[in-house]
Amino acid sequence: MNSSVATTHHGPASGLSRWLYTTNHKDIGTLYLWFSFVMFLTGGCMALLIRAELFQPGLQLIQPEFFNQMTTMHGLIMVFGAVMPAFVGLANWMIPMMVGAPDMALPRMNNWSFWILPFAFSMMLSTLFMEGGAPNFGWTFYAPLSTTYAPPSVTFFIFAVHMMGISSIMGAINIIATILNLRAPGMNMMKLPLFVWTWLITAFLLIAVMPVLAGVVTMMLMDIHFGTSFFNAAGGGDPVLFQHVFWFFGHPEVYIMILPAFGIVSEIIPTFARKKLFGYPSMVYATASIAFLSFIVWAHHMFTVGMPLVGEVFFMFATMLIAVPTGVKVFNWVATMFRGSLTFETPMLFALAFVVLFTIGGFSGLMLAIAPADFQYHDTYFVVAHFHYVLVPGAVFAIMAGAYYWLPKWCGNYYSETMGKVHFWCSFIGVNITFFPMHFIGLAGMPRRIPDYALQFADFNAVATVGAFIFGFSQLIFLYNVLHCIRKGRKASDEVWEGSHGLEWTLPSPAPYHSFSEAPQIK
Amino acid sequence: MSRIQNEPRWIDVILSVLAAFFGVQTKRNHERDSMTDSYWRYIVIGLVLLLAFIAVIYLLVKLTLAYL
Amino acid sequence: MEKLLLGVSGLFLFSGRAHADWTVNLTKGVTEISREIYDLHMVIFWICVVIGFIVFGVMLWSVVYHRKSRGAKAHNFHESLVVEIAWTVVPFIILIAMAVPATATLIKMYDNTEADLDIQVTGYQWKWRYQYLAEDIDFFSSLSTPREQINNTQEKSTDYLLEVDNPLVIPVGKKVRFLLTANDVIHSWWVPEFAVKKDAIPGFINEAWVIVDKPGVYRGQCAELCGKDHGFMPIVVEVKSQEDYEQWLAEFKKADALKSQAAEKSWNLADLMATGEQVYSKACLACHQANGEGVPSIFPALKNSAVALGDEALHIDVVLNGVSGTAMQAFKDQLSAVELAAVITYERNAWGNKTGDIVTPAQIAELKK
Repeated sequence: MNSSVATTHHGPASGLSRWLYTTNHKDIGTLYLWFSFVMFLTGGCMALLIRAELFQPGLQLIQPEFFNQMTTMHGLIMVFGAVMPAFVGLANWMIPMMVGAPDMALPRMNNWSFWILPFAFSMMLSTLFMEGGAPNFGWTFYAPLSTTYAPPSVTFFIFAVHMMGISSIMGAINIIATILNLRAPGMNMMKLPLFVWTWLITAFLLIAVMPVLAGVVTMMLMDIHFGTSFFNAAGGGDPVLFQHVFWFFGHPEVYIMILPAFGIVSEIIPTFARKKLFGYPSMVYATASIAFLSFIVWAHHMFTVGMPLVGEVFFMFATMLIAVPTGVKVFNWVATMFRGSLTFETPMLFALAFVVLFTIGGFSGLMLAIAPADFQYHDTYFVVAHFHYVLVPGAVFAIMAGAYYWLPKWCGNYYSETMGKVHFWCSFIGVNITFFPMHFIGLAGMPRRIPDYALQFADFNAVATVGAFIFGFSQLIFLYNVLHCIRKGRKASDEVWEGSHGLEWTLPSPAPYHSFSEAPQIK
Repeated sequence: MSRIQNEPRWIDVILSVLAAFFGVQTKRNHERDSMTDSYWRYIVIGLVLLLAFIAVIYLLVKLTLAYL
Repeated sequence: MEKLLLGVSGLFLFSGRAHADWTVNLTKGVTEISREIYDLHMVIFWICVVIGFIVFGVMLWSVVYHRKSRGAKAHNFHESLVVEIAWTVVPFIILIAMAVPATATLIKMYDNTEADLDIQVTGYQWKWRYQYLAEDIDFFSSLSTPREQINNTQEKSTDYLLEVDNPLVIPVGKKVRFLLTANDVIHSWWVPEFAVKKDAIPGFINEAWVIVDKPGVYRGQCAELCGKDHGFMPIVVEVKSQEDYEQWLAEFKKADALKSQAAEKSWNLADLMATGEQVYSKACLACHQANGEGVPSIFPALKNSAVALGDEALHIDVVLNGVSGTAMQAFKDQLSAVELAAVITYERNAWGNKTGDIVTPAQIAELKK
């Protein structure tokens, strides 16, 4: 999409080799984004299969062992294949343009960190066709279900997780190096757009916790193949150790999936409110605060494993504290809108839905933090409702908002606003019909990860399934809209949006293949 | 502007890190922090205060359990 | 295709609604702790509602009144230390107010002392074992919903998936302590009306306790993913008055004695096969499947297998003592001598495994000693 408008002395190579050998941050960003969209649809199909099975009580379409494979693969693909690569794609495209850099700091490594991913996910998906089936122990892969009792394909799963980890760590190193070293003169840390700030902090989180994930899967590998007993009680090991190590990675991981979303929304709301972001410094400091706290709350996922009382209370207090900086962010977004001059283009609609629905997810998170109550909520659909509210209308809506927001800058054309709005409303309604009733069935007592359920949960499950199909199929509108935009959308101006602000909007639309070859001057 | 004059003192660094924990910071202090080149002081203080913070919560827990 | 059609038609025929309702909230339950938890839940819920009302209210106000199409001009404020400190401190105070009662409840939940009755609860793939530590009572409890209901060829009963063959029985008003552990993977024992959810972890013993106010039947489920039939291992607790409980104890012990007598009787192949088929469908079918072909690479086949056709002693050993490091459990304590003999005989003679061998209950009873 950039080839026709290359303004510098050399444009992209042609054909497949352009994408295979590219070291251009825009090409790699595009690759990441398309990859994540493909994974989003793949994981989405799995979710629809799960919902279809749960439409009515009884087993209709799939058997329990395949159901477990679907829940596991759905989780892994959405977390590692859809949400994380989408954020890295947005970072690749936008961070150099936002800080006034010609490219990412380490372009060759950038190519490598992308091209690992298709191989990792091919390996992961190939387990579906292996004898014994794909991993079936949930995306949290608790030992010993994932070690002693796992299907043989678990080894491939471990290798795939290692590859994703390497990719993420390299991506994070690249982002940190770019932000710290390649800023244009005058672009000091205080002037960094919030998307860049949140990504900087996210990148540090990634570097801190991906090795922990690598460690825990390596321990599994040792248990399975090399006769160790890290997680095997019969050999003197400790199954709970697995959960501590996993969640020490897992909790920062959920912030890895939400902090860049905060950044995107903090870019979009000021643009369409035509007003500066309220409390920019506080936003930066609140992000840092969330990142710090994310390391000392992991065991709130484990309130029912039988920790000592002191542990329960410690993790309850620490978890409740996270509500404070998160609240600061929501209040700041609302204050930014207050007395602004609002318009409601598609990115803004997604951003507003993000603020409301993410906050609802935050509320249920606060409820889950109350340890005694968590004994009732834990591992029920209430938890499923909670994390889907934070991740779907949270992270995914923010990614959609970002895609619509920057699409005209990427390809030089506007998307269809009407289609964008239809996509938004279908998604918004679908998401709520799917996930809101899950609060109810969770409170009524339905455990998560079950392929069949007692009759009192039937009605809300049927409703949720209908919502899931609405949400799932409305993503095809998005696909069509993007393709339409690339091929014959209305020509976009350089600043694209009336209220746009920041270096990326000073570039022509579409952004040239090589931008900021000479550093811009920031006043 | 002169860098030397604006260089934050240790106490400023501590206050900034505390502000980061709290999640609210004034623009003036943020500006001063962003101008400095010595990030390592923030990192050291950040880590020390993080440990202190964990200790404070732990003590709080111990106190609550002792009195409730 | 035929199977799919059957499934779809079953979907409409037997989508039983006998019990369906639109419950939207947590149960108050039948214990002091469960009511305290319910209250905590409601308090934090209303706090969230109020905060949500304010935040979304301001947002909605801006969306309605500060839109450009109404001619709203953007103001230029973007900082206010006072406001920011206020909306940091206020939630902080609310949280502290919330943390105090939550901690108090938690302390009560952790008070495992002075129990009247101790019951060890062990999670197995996919059933529960209950051992009354003071009495000589030890039994397994597994799903009793017939396969036909799950596969939609029979109408679903009211307690579909929430019914078991042998419920746990406890006395009302007594402090019952549960000692939870697991045999294979991690399970979690959950009865919502008791507000007890505790993981059962192999190699660990967790504690939980309950004092139930009201006699009745209370149902729950395993709450931690434990493999294929995680959704099919319910918990049923019958809470009885002290007299009824003692009567149950006596009857249970009598029935247990009868079972061991049955082992001494002589059994013929046909009787063993008939009993064996029932036992097989209860204890073995989930993994080895109805046709004895297992699931490739996960659960080995019994049909034409070396174990089922080969040495009888090895077959008995596998069933009684399990195979360590695999999902094959030790059934020595799970089944009676008659049941064990019947199921082994069944496996050696069903699906064309025509060895003609008879394993007698007496033989097994000898090994069980």
